[in-house]
Amino acid sequence: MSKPRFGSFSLFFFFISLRACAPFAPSKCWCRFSGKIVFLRIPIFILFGFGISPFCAQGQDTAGGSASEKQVELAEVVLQMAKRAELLAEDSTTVAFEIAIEAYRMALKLGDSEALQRAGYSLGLVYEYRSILDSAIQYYEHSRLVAERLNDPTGVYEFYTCMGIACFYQNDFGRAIAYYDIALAGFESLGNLDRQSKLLNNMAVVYRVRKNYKKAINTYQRSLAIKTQLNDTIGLANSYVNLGRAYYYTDQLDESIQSYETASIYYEMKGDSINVAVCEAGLGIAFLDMGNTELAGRYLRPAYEVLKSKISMDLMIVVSSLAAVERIDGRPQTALNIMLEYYDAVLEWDRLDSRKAFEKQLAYVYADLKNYERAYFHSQNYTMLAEKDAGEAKMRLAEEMQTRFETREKESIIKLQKLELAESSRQKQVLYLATALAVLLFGGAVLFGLSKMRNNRKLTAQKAITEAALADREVLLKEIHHRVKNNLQVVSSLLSIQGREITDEKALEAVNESRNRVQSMALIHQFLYGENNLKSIDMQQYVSQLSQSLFDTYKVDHDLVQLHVYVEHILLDIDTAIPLGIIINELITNSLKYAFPDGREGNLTISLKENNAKLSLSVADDGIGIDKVEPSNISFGMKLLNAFKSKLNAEIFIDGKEGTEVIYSIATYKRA
Amino acid sequence: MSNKYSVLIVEDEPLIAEDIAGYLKEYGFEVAGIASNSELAMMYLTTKSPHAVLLDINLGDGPDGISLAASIRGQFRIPFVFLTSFGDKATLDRAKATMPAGYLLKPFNGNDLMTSLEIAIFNHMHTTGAFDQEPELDAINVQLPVELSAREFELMLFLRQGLANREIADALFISVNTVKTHLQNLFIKLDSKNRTEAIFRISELMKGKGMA
Repeated sequence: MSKPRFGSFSLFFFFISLRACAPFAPSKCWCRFSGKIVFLRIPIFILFGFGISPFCAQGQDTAGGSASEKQVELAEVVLQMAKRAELLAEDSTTVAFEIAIEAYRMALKLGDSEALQRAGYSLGLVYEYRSILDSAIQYYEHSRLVAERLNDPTGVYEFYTCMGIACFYQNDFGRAIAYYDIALAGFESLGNLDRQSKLLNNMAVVYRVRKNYKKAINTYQRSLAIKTQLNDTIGLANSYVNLGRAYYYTDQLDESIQSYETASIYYEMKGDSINVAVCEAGLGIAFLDMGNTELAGRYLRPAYEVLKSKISMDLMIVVSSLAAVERIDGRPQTALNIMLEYYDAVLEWDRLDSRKAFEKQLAYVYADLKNYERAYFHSQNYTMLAEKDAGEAKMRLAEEMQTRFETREKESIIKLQKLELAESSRQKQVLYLATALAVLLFGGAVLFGLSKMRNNRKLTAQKAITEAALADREVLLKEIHHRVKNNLQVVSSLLSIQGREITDEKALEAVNESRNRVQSMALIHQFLYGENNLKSIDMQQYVSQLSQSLFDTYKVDHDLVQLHVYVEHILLDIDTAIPLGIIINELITNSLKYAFPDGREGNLTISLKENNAKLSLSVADDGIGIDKVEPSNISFGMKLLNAFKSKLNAEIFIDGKEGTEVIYSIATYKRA
Repeated sequence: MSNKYSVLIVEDEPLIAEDIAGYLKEYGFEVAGIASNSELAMMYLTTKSPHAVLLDINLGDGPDGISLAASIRGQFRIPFVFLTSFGDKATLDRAKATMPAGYLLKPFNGNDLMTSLEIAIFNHMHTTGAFDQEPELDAINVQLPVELSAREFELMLFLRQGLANREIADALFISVNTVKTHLQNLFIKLDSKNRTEAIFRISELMKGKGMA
């Protein structure tokens, strides 16, 4: 492991950097809205274009000049409401939401594109504050489309930016970067330097959170170059802070300190004491890492005094770093007091980075205080969080890959990535055990005597670690089932398309039957993907759905042939479920095709039960009896039944005199 | 405009889209277009004015089908049915919030596809007041090359109420097979392949648009 870090604050400078780039920041109001009647003449045709629109009548009621005046007025109201919602979003999302949604409804009714665009933005923003990010993205996207129709490129790119920000909050970094990329290219083409510099800043934040510090530094520097050109003091200061942070992570401590100092000067010039404190915090931890607790303390203490009034990410970092200073200087009790004051807040804050820093520092502090039990507890917590962090980083990487690359290339890269992940998750498990063991040995040495309590804790910790690893794997498995199912659907569609071109009846039948077989397999993956249980297929559900689907495919009239399914609630492993699915598919198909010729009525009964360690499938009908069916018609299906015989260690009994009953008795099968 | 009901397919997998298009044509629908992403879909929605949309959720890199659904819901007011391979609860909940007219899981078969599409269109016609007015046999027959019989007309009224064959049979004290025979004749006379098309055609005829 690399040298100890006393705080990890990837999201540190977040609000300043991101929000600054959002469109319609208070400084830049949308003057375009007021007084431009030209736009009002263009109704949103999509609303009025259909006779079915409930708003249609209303739109036609208002007539003449007064109507358009009223529209201008209403558009202005929407605009004001939207602004109000944006301002309120920070204080009360509930109130802001009510206003924003009402503004949006009004804008829709009004059919004014610009009002709609602005209201959409407000609603998106409010959703973002409420952390309902899917909806936020949805409304940004919606507004973007409106902007596109209005031929407003700046609007379009600003909404791409908004979507990027929302994706970022959603931890969907691949998509965030993709949206930012589009926006950046757009602003470049428009020659909008201000937006470019802020976008670069946003992108750098993403890289930093993704822990790609090299790229982050590079991007910050691009942003800095533009800001210098623009003479944007605050922007420069923000970028220097971010650079300081990135340098810190890459162990370039001198550069880090230099950046913070520059930023601090800018902020002081502007009289921004909070951000000066933020810089001091940065300087403090950098000096702490250099082992200079004296200087670290000198920067951290005033920062703490400024920041302590409000719980924030910065404060958490300052607290854990300050505790480190106190502890190293031989005052562990002071360190403990200050940490305990904020421990609950950190738990509530629920940011992995802050928690990690806290748990680690607490472990050290308790060890210094010779309270080994607590020390052990917190070190365990730390290990778990660290593992979780590593796992998430890997997942994020895989996700990003998925979004970033084009189809073919994408597929192959993801496959590689997944294989690697699967491999490393196996390695990781070994690592987990080794780490857990090391920690446990340490604990054992200091704590012998309390063996029972320790044993329990040992088990809990191990269990948590294993569970985390399993959760990792589950996400991947799910994704794989999803892909397999999609591919099977493509194969099924392929057969179906080809089927439409075939005139020869026999050939058509063969193609359609093959399609059914593929579908019966796809259905199994559907079950594995859809259910929370990734390993087992509930045969009760599966058989009902499969038989129903076959009845539909063969257009069987349920009044003529009645279906009866008697399947026990058996959970089977995929290795057994797939062949069994194909077998059931064949048997039902045979019955439906041959047992009830010329509108003959009857019953089809499917049962599956477990008896004496054997799985017994029976498909029975009271049709004409298999003995009367031309053998060549069913030879292929029979071939399939026989093909699986040895794999499943099965016996087949066929009774075809009166009606047909096929019993497929399986001795080798896997329950799940 | 043709008197067929047109459906837009939004699906990023070309082969699956082609297959869906085949089904739609088989069942007498018109394909308004195949869009592989949201942008294209918006284009078709504005230029082709389809009557309904079949929507996949995963549309590659761009915005997904759920955000597109919100736009359709907000702007176009036409019914849409999700046809997707996402069956997990989270996606389902997200999709539900857009109030789709239906949600179908892959693997799909033609029958499921048509049934949900028909229900979606039917419900939509109901909510938009397409059935508020009662059709009149004479007014319709004037516009048809082969006139409807009184019995066929009666059946058609039941269709407009959304009744299934079995329910119609029970209401008229006839067998399901008889209902089917009548319906077949009704469809032929209305130049329709299915009940949705027939209902749609009647609505058009009521507006006097029958003479092409």
